[in-house]
Parts: sequence; structure tokens; C-alpha cells
Amino acid sequence: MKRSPASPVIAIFHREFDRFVKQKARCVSAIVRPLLWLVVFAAGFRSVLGIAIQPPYETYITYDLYVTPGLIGMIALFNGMQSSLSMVYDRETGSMKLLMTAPISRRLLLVYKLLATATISSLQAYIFIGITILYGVDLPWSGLLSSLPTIFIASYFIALVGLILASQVKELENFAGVMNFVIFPAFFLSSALYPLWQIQETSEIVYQLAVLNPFTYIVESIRFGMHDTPLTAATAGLFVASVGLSIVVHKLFTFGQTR
Amino acid sequence: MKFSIKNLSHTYAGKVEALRDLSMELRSTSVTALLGPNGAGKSTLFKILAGLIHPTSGQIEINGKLWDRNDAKPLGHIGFVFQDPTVDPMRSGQANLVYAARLQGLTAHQFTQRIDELVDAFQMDEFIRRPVGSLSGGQRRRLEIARALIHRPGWLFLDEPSTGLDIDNRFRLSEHLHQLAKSEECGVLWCTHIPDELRPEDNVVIMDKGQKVFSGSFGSIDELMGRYNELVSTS
Repeated sequence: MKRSPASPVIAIFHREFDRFVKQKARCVSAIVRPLLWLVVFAAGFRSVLGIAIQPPYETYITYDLYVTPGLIGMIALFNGMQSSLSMVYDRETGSMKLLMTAPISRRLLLVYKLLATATISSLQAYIFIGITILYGVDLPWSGLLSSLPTIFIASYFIALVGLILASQVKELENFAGVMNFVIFPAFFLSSALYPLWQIQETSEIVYQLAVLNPFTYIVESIRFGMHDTPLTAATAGLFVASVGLSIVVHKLFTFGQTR
Repeated sequence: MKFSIKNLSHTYAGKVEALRDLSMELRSTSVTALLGPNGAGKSTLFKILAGLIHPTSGQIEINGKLWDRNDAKPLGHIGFVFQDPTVDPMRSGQANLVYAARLQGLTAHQFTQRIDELVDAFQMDEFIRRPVGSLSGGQRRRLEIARALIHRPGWLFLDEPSTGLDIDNRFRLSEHLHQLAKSEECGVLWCTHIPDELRPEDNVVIMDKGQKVFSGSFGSIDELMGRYNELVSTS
């Protein structure tokens, strides 16, 4: 029987989408969570916090425009981690064994899984961008296209980090704890909510942590991407890190298997 | 089609010897039962066959050719049914079958008719569109076996498939597996510790403490049970 190399890709993408749509709470909260930050948090800070001119912005901007890239990063962060959580779930329920006994290289399986997660994260991000535009955030239209590669690469990178975490966590309960220790520090210790220079004025230690935090570079890549600069040093760095980390993961990824 | 296991050994964490120099050959179109008490090494062997763990030493040959475990392609000739359920409880039986078919590289054109055949053969019509989470243990087992056969494998490996089934369902499963070996023309390796599920024409391998202690035909249940108890108690 002739086998199609496209069929396993369809299988993995279809399952990821199916699972995302069926988990209605996850589906809704993926959009509601950043929206709450935009509508409640950013609305409160809009009058308090003026953002000075700094690249990529060419003029003074409102806080909701500033915070939007950070919230897109938040979407990728939550979806990447939840997708990894589903991997721990698959291992617990035994569904992982079906994947492991399929006649496909495990390296390819990992890549398909990561690409499917990144695609879902990107779709969520674009739904959120659509809502922010309707809400009145003044995003440049051209930025919708120029930010796509950045959002996708960032989502892939986050999914990859999530996968590494998932490979080390043996039980579902423990992974929830890991998520809290990863998602919240990554988000708050970054430039998602405040510019780095403003963080530095308040605390040098927090600033140094934010500079070391990869999520800062994800947010800044998305920020520049949304303002017509799809390729920045941060984006290139993310891409290189994603490829490098993928190679390392593929070499080290065992899950106790042979391929 | 020949499937040979040669001098397979496995030691967990360098201490617990789960398999010791195990060799056997599987016959195509017939049932080979792997019998043994808990801890005999049946599940370890199964995990090695499925590629879930790497043996400490030994090799597997398919049609006389060494199976390089970095090559995933031979897995396309094998169907696996694990001891614990491995179906996705959130999706329907149909979706689980389609998923397995696609993972095997089959296109919609190839698997649509095959799914219909399997739904008929395993009498799954009434529940195939229901979420797997709502199915009984027996229905799930039928679904898992059907799923393992979706790509028409040359060998079907089952690890204690009757675990959790009542007596009726156990005998029905046994009936089905023996029919399958003929109708699907595949060799069946059946790990179990319940000899009364077997038939006189079956080939039997008895394992204890990671070693093969008997290999031969089933004969009669009394003879086999006597031999089984004797071997397990003396080894």
C-alpha cells in the first residue's frame, strides 16, 4: 500500500485543531484573557502612563497600542504551554504510544506537532488583532502582514520551550505548577507591560532580568513586526534560537524511546 | 513473512534483568501466545517490539533483514494493541480510526472503505460515532484492535488485550483474534497470562523471569496448564 507523507501532517494538525475547538473553555479564554488586559488594565493605565517616543514608534502613543504586542506574546505563551500540557496528558492517557508506533521519524513528529501549535497560536493572535482593531487600537494595517513571520516564529519558539518542559514533567499535576513558574515570570519580567527604560528607572535588578528574559525579545520582535519591520536582530535571534534549540531537542529528546 | 527475535536481553537501570537472551520466531497467519506470570518480561518484550524502549542487547529481524531501530518504516507492517487504553477519549471512535490511518500514511481514498470494513467486522456501527470516553471496556477494546488493523499489518501484537473484560467479552475477543489471523492473513503475538483464551492450534511460548522456558504447540489445556505450573514453579 502506497503511503502519503502528507497524511501524518494532516493527522497531527487536525487533532490539534480538533482538540483546541473541543476544549471550549481553552478556546474562549485564549481570547478573553488578553482582551481583559486590554480593556481593563490598559484602559486604567491609558491616562496614567504615557509612552515616550521610542523605536519602532515615531510619535507619542497610547498605552493600549504599546501593550498589544505583549498581549499577542501572552497568547503564544499560553497556547504553547497548554499544547505542551496536552503532551503530558497524551502520555498519561496512553495516546502518545500511538504516535510512537507510527512509521514516522520522531523528529518529524515533533516538528509537525510544533508547527501545528504555532499555527493555532498565530490564528488566535490574528483573531485578537482583529478584535483590538474593532476596539479602536490604532494598529497600522500594513503591520498585519509584516508581523506574521515574527508571530509564527515566536509561537514556534515558545512551543519548543514548552515541549522541553513537558519532556521533563512526568505527571499532569506537576505541569500546572511548572506553567505558573514559567508563564507569569516570563510575562511580568519582560517589556510586555512597560518599556525597558521605564523598568530600569524603577529597579535595576528587574531590568537585568527583563534583558535576560527571552520573552522580552519575543515581544519586541512582534512590536517591530507590527510596525513594518519584520526582520530585526531580535527576530533573527529568535529564528536562530528556534532552529538551534530544535536540533538540540531532536538530539536529546528521548521520552525513553529509541528514535 | 518472518519475524525473528534473536538473543534479546534487557536490564532496567542496569540492575533489574527483565529479559534474558530471548529468541523466538513468529509464524505468519497464526496465533503465538506469550504466556507467563506477572513480571515474566512479557510487557518489556512488548515495549521493545513497539520501540518504546531500547534493548540492552539482541536484535530483531524482519524477513531475514536486521531491523535498524532508527528506521521507523517497519512499524508500518505492525499493529499494536497495548494493555492500557490508548484511544483518545475526547474524540469519536471514527475520528480515532481516521487519525490512526493518517498516521500510517493512508489517504482518505485508501482508508474510507477500510474503516467501513472494520466497523462491520467488529460490529461497531452503533457506537463508532460516539466519543470514546462514553464507551464500555469491551467496545474500546474492539475499537483498539480495529485501529491496529487499519493499515492491514503483517503482524498484530497485543499486550494482555483482555485486561478488564468480563468472561463473555474475553471469549468473544479470543474468537475474533483467531478469525483475524486467518481473514487478515497476519501473525498474531498475544501476551497473556490466561491460558484458557487459547486454542489447540496456537503456538505457545512460556516465559518466566525474563527467559523462555517453553516453546511449542498448545496441545490440550490440561497438559499446558500442568506444564505451565510446573515450569513456573521450578524455574
